[in-house]
Amino acid sequence: MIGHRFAARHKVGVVLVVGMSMLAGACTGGRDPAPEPAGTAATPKTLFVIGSSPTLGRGLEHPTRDSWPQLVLDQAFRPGDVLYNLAIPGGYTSEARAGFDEALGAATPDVVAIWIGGRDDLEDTPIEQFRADLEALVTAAGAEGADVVMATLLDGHPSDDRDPAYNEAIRSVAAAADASLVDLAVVDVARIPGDDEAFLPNEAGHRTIANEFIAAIGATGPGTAEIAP
Amino acid sequence: MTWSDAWVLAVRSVRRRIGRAVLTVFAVALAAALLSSLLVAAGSARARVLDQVSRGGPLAGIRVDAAAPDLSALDSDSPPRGDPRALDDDARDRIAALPGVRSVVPIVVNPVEIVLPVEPVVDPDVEPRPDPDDDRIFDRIVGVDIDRVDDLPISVIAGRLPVGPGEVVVSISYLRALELDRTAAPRVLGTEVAFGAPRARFVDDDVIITGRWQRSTIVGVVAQEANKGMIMTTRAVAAEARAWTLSGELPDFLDDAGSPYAALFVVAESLAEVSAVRQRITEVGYSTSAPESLIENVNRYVHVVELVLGGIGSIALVIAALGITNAMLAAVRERRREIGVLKAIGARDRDVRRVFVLEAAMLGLIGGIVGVAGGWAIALGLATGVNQYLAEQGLEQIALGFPIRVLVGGVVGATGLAVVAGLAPAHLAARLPARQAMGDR
Repeated sequence: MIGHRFAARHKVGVVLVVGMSMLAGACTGGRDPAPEPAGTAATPKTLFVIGSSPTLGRGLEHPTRDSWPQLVLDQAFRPGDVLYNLAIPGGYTSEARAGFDEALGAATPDVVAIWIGGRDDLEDTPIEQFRADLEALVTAAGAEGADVVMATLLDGHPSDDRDPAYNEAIRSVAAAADASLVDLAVVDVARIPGDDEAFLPNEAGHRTIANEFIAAIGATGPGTAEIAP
Repeated sequence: MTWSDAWVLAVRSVRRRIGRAVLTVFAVALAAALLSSLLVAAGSARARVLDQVSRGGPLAGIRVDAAAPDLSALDSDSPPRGDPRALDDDARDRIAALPGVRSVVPIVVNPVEIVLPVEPVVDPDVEPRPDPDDDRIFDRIVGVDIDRVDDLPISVIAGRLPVGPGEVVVSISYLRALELDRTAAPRVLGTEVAFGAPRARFVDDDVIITGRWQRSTIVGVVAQEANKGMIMTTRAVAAEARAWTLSGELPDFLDDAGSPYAALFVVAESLAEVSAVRQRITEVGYSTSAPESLIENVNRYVHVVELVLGGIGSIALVIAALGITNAMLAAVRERRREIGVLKAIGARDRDVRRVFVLEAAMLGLIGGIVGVAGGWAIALGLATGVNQYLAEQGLEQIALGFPIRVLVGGVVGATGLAVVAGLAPAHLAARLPARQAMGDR
């Protein structure tokens, strides 16, 4: 009899201890919900962009956000993918070639987008040299196993004053290398109003250019839907 | 008389005078509750204060900077740095091999340009930034080994830590850049941030900066003191950005001599080892900082507070013990006839003493258990209230530990004190002659 009562009291003690343990376990601060891990993420893709002032978003209010390379990164690539913007303001193709070789020492591109030649056209770089520089760029990119996308120079605005030989060189190099071609020369790209920077695309123009590159890259990222102009 | 017989008699006595027993137990329980809740609260306060002092990192943490030591201020917790000196894998391995070093975590830091979200989407009440340049910030990205974050002064305020290259966490300074306070931390979870690492290159006489841009999802907000920087990510991501910057010319904005690591966070084997480990690292040739003096002072002050609070609780427990003595003396007076009968049928003095000591122990044990449970509940309630306040302020909440030593000690102490309190009445009962006990009746 007494033994039973003692056992009952013992059980009460055990329940108290267990209860206290449960209370201790319950007393931990809660955390806010966070995005679930993306799962086994694929290896980040790398996009190299070779260009000049327009590729840096010169003339834009928010160049690091609204320039076409950033739009392509946002829309056609996944978080974690990397964009190397190797553009040189007012750069010659020969200068871009040197910068590209240096960059290849630091990273291996999956896609190389080349849109350069405006300065060569303006300063009358010999067309054969321009072609050789372009071919060197394309060859170097191809040697890395990268998909190459080339674009012709804008030619739809009075300020462009374009020598057609340069765009022909771009088209022929792209065809010879079996690279994708974005023929911006025949695309209506909106420009910054005024005389000084009329050769530069405005925000809408950069969206148009980005859409052309996204289509040419054939990216399968989450945001491949066309950017509203 | 066996122990079980004595136990039966003690239980029977308690049940017979249940009202007095309940009051006695209540007094002991109150005292035990006061003592245990004070000590639990003091222990949690100590943990909280030390956590703040160590900035969420290990108490025995030491920061090693990519700089030579300033030999004129070695005793300081945060001495000024000497000239920049590269911290590389070789330096890390040498420091890791020093006696008293438990772990070494490298910290990679690189300057980046951060592009804030397009809209003030995270808070519709915030006005758009009037200055267009406000959406570009030049700051730093901090890379650490995420699986070793427990060895770093990093506390997650909201969300979680990054697990892949497309994820980052941001610090409080990022929230401030968005004109948000800490309470709004959950709002940035799931948004994206872009950051670009610069690389300088000379073309003719012009410096051309080319950017390595990465877009990442914000999965957490942290309070981190590993290194100044708005964005924290995995070491691999930061190291790639760092490699890109270091592959170019070293521009003026790099003030660390192109060190692969901006700092190492070293954890000593114990708090007592911190000073000696810092001395050894200084001999290797690097500047260190650690809040060792501050921690020592805090420990000293908190220990005094614990002594005072423990003293208050102990006084209450002694008063409760006097109550037990009083109750037991009354019991002896009321049970003289019973004591006489026990002795008449052969019970020895020590048998009678055993019954009364067991009764006192029973009251102390029950009072101790109830009191400690009540004290824990009080501490829990206080912690809940404090955590609600901290949550409203956007501060990290406290985790009330389960101080098993305090709780078990409270029960054992209450029982022991009750036994001591019952010794005198038990002795009195045991020494009562059988004839006198019966005759008094």
